[in-house]
Amino acid sequence: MNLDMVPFWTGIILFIIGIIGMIGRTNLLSMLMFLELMLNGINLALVSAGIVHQNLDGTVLTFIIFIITASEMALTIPVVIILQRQKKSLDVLQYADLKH
Amino acid sequence: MIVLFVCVLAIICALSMLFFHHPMRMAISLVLTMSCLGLLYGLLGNYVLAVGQILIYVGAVMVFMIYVIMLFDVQDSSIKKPFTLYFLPSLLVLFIGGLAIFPKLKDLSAPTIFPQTVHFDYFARHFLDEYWFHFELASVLLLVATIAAVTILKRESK
Repeated sequence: MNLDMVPFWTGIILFIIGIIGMIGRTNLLSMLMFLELMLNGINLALVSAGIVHQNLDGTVLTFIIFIITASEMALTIPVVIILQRQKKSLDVLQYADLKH
Repeated sequence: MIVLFVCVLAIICALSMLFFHHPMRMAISLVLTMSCLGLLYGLLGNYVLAVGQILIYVGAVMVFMIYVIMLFDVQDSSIKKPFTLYFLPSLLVLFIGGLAIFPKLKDLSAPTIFPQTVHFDYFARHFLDEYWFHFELASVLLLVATIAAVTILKRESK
């Protein structure tokens, strides 16, 4: 493996840690943070792949992901606050009745 | 060598998130991971994303998250739960999926190249010349999502 691919593999490892945390935790805020970690891993992999191929595709996509992430957090946090007020808990297992 | 050190530091900070249970400690670990990634973007010559990472992720998203953690009760029962019942089966599925993908990713070997420096003027010119349509598409989609969210909220309030 080439040393230039180290940031790419770091991105993949961060993504895997994010998935493990996302699956393993039931706290809504913790899950959100692991989601952010997954996004960061993907960003790093995209940027390092763009550097390897010497184009700006990864950078542009990451820039757009920045915008999407900021919007996503602005929408997600109020939803979390509403859910916490309704159920008095941040445990996602208690939100199972939302689908009925 | 510095790139390797920062990568290892980012992975250690991310791994520590798995072992912390208190959301505030996890948030601090995530801030450190994001800062490491910002440093990494700078070391790779991508100054636009280095600034964006620090300003948007660390400065806006995580500060917002920390405010919300301070707002909630830290004695919530879900904080103390270690892992769910689905954790081990999911890890097994992840491992099998990883084994299937890994040989294809392993072939991705890069030639030794010097990183291309991405300055703001270069990025802005390139962005508006070639990627303006993608950016406009993303902004239109965000606008549609905002209108949909407001419509649903108004319908529920009636």
